[in-house]
Amino acid sequence: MVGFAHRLGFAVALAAVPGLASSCRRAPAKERADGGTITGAAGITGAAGTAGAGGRAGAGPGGDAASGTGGAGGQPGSSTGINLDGSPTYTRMQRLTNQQWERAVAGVLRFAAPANLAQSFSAPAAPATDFSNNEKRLYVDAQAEMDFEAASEKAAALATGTPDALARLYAGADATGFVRAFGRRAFRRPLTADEETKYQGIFTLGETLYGAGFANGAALVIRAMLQSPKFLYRSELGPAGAPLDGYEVASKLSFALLGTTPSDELLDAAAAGSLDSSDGLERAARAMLEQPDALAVLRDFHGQLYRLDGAGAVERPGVPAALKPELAEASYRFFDTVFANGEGLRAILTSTRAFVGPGLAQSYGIQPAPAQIEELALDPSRIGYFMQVPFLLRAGRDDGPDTIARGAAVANDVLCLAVPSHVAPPPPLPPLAAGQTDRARVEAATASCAGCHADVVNPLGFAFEGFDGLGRRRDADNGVAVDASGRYPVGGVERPFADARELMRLLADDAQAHTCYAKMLTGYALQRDVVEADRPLLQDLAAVSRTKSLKEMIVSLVRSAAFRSRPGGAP
Amino acid sequence: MSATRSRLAHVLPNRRAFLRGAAGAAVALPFLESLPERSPWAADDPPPVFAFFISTVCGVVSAKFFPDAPGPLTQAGLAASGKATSQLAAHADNLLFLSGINWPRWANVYDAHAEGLVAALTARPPVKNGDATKATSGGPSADAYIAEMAHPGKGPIALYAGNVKNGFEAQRLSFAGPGQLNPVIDNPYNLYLDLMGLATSSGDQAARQLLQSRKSVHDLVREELTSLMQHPRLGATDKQRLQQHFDAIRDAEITMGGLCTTTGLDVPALEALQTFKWNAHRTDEMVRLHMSLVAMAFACNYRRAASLQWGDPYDLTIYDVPSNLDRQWKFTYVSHRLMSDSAIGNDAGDPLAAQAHAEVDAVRMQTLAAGLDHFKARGLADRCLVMWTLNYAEGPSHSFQNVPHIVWGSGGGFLKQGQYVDAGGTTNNRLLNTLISAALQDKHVTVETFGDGPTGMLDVARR
Repeated sequence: MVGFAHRLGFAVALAAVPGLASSCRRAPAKERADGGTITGAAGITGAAGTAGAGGRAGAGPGGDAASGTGGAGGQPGSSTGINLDGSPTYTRMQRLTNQQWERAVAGVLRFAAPANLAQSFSAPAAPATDFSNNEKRLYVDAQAEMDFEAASEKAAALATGTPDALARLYAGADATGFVRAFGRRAFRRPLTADEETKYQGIFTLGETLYGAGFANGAALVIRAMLQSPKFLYRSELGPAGAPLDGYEVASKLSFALLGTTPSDELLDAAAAGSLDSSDGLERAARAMLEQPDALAVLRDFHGQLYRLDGAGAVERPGVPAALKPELAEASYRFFDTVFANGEGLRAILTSTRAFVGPGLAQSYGIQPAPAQIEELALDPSRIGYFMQVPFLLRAGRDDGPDTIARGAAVANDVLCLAVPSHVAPPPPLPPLAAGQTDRARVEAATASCAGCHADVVNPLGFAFEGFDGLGRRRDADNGVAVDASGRYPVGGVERPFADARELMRLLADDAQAHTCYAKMLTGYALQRDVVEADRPLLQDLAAVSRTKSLKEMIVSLVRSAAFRSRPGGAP
Repeated sequence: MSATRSRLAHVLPNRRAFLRGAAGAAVALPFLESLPERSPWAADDPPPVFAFFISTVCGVVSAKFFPDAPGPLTQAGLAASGKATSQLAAHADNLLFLSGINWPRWANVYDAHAEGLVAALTARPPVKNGDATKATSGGPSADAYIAEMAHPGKGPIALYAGNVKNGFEAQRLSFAGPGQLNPVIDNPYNLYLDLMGLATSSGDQAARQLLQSRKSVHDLVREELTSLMQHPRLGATDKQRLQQHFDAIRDAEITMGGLCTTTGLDVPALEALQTFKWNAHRTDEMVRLHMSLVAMAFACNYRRAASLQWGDPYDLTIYDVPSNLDRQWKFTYVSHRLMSDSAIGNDAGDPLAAQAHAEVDAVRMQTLAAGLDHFKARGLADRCLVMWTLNYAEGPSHSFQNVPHIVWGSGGGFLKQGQYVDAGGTTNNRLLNTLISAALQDKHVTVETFGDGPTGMLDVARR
């Protein structure tokens, strides 16, 4: 099969051709979570090229027909083309992310409005991971300790500083009841007798130091509990491979789907045993997925996966100033809608709707332009996010499309192919010659890097030749008719396409694309690297992705052993 | 308040709360017997190193600045040298003088005042940003680099002593990245506020309450961590993480002890600056106040890096030294030996100006010594490095060759002390590689390619 040969040949070429290897050799993976620019070949694109893809596996051997995980259209399974060579630590003490901390504090203290206590928290320097919530990035160093301490003190002051705040915190005025009730919320389970005794001692100390009064005692208890490892870490301390207990799974579910601590109702359900079955867990998950906090979590997921913050951070003289504020917001709202409407990857790749504001309307040629950002139908020639202006503009240059950046983004973000970054900066593209198209220029400039470019990046990037550097339609390139056609192995078979629209339709049916999406979702939800042992789960989720929605993928994930059990991997 | 108040304030509510206490009380922290009595940072291996970079302006009178020849520095020897740096004699044991350091070369120098400042901490040729007087950087400055490595997202403390609103060139020293000038604090009172919060009359009682309550919370949290670390199902990685958390609490306690206090701050002088208006005669006074605050900031582990631009590029400071008392020339004129910002004279043409320049050098070294006293008093000699330099070497020549550098502190045991060395005509990137590496030892980072120039560190500066 030619397609597989290409994929395998790509991997082989890197090793066999010294010159190629020296410039296309895999460099350390770039962190995805910094919301950086789309990867392009620095220099060639002229963009502020950040190197490398975030921790994504390269193309591996072709499809495993025996796996039987074909997709729509009965194509042989090719989802095994994604390497799953992560290195999770399977932590049993998962520190809360800064965002989880902020929401959890607001939840347990019953804040009426966001306190923004974590906005100045430092982010520890960490190894490259796909997402910022990866277990390997979450620990308490000296700076984090000072951040948590200071913010806990401020939170305690806010929670006890007014009668209204105290009333929301706890209806009574007794230390015993407060320690028990607040402790259950903060530690996400009932306190033990020993813990109740210790924290009642803290309450008494608070009154001793600061004067008699419920607020003084409560404030010190709050400070202590918010700094306790029982608040700062979500623990899974049961035997390896055994199911999580009700409180553990309640915490895991709530932080994964809502980014915050479990509600009183969820803790009650845990206590009643309602979360001990996968059906009970599913019911709870479905209810959570309709809450606004779930939208916020999935917004963060898509934002990191597709680097949506980078859309608004484009710094090119040719980008109209009026456009910049719309780019990120239009992107985020598109993905919000995909999730909220019960859609998924297929819509990400093929939706005919987009969010358009007055600036973007000009780029899309929409008249009259809306007064503010709203959802509109686009010209049918544009489908999916990767044919929308925010993506095309970010992967664009002032003198035309950034073909390599566009191709690399699709390879990395849709197909989980880790396009190696250049070790040495590549030379810049020469100016266009008379009558030369951008496509011809790129082909000439990358001729010696066939393994990365001719087989992977270029075909995917050339599909978008019909759009200029600002994401506007174009039919001619330097006076020559645009050629956006190409061929690409999809589902193990090399398929021709005339343009990006046809490519997106092909990828929407491609098992690899759905498996890639499943891999990313799994890594984000479980907060760890994904490995070979997860492949059956990914194949199941990919099958759901092809025919159903992101919400259904999440429900399937929640029902899985990977979610409900303590993994058996080495700690 | 100055319009150039740093961004620090709105990103650091946690630090203000820490030193002020949640109740808003002023913190004059006594060393409590209940806190562990141990050397600061002894818990860490390697501990954090703090870095402070100072650049002043308009060059020195080279022949009267450093001792006559490289060699050991002693208090007696330096005091007897008769040079401007004799004012630093009390600090001789912790000093490293370096000659033979050059700025990187660039094709055309349009404005040495601005361009020299840009090169001082970036070790790169400046980028001409339209008007040559608006020269900007081709990369980050050393203070910003260290800050980003040590505490990502939180920049260095960037300070300015001079007329930041002079509308001509102003700050040109601290850069977050290429062309990204860091905003500066020019009024020490604003830095004081960032560190301290507003003073109230609660005084020591509030501080004691805070420390005792924190100690109790820490004890409980430590107990919980210890219990967790004994859990049979926790693996090595989890135990290491919890141990790291445990150690972080201990470090925070040590920070709260003796060195992180307001002792030594001239609080009345700082508070008198609430209605600060720039005054040409008070630049060095601002430098002393800035330095006292940076020393406290480091002792409190507030930031790992700081920078101070001492004077305007075309310095408007009027030094009341004997040879300038009558003329009252701004320092730029003194350094040019002419009453001109553009034309430059020579020593023979105006020996009075030349003498005034030498006297100013001595005054500046007195100011530096007074500032270093604060670092010494807080026991920072082994945990810190303070680098002083200028935008160019000499007044009339504006030369970028052989720019004097002074380093105080061992930088965590990384640097030589008590020595005057000749770097042999190398570019400043190698010195900055060395200083940055010293500052980032706890991050296990070695830097050899900062800025422009030959890779590697400066061996003559290393212990």
